[in-house]
Amino acid sequence: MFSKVDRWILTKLSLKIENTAGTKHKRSYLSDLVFLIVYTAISLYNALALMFSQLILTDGKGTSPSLLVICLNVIVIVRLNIDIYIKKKENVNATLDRLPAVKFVQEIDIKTWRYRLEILCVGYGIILMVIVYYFCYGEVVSGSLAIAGIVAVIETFINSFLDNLAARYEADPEVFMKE
Amino acid sequence: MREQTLMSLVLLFFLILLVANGLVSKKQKRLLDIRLRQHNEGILFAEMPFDIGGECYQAPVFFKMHNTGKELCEDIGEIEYIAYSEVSEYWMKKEKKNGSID
Repeated sequence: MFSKVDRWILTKLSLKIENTAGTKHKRSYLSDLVFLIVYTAISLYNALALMFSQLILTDGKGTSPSLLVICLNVIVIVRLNIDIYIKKKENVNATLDRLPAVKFVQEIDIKTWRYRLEILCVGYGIILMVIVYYFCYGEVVSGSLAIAGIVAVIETFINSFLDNLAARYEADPEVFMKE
Repeated sequence: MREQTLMSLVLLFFLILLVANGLVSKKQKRLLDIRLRQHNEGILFAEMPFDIGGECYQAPVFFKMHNTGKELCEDIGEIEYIAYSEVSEYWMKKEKKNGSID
C-alpha cells in the first residue's frame, strides 16, 4: 500500500523537478543563510533559557524554554549524521568506480566528509562528558539536556553553514571569490 | 529516580551514536583499503612473465621502496617481472644492460 503512495507522490510531485543545483541561486542561498542564522539564534536562546530557567522565569520577560525544542535539535543532528554518512559512502563508491585504469592510486580523497563526521563525533563526545559529569554530581536533568541542545545547535549551524558556503561557491565561483 | 533513568537513556543514545559512527567509518576504511590494493595489484600484475633466474626481488617490498606514486614503476626501467606463484609472491629480476636475460 505504501509503495503505491510513494509512487504516486514521486510521479505527481517529485520526479518533474529537475536538479539545477549549482547554477545561479545565489539569492536563494543567501536567504537560506539568513533563516539558518535566525533558527540558530532562537534554538540557542531556548537552550540557554532552559539552562538558566530561574533567571528567565523570575524576570518575567520572554518566552519560557521548552524541552521539546531541545529534542527537536537533537533529532536534527541525528538526521544530519545520516545524511553525511550517505554522502560519504556515495562519494567513496563514485570514486572507486572511476579509478584510472593504468595508474597507481595511493589514497582516495574523502577528507571533506570525514571531517564533517569527526565534527559531529566531537560534539557527541562533549555531550557524553557533560551528561556523565552531571550524572556524577547529581545536577538536574534539564541542565545536561540544555548543554546537549546547545552542542546540537552549534553543530547543525556549522554543517548547514558549510553546505551553504559550498552551494554559494558553486552557484557563482568567480563572484564568490571576489567578495 | 525518574531523572536518572532519563539521563541513562540519553547517555545510551549518544553512546550508541558515537560507537556506531566509529564502527562504520572503520569498516569503510578497511573496505577502501582492500579495493585500492586490488586495483593497484591489478596494475602491477597485468603482464605475466615467463622465465625465472638471476637477481630477484620480491615485488611488494620492491615497490614499497621504489614506487613514489607519481608514475607506475618510474624508477625501475631495467627491472623485469620474472616469476609468480601467487599474487603476494611475485618476484622481479634485473635485466642486463644489453637487453639479454640470464
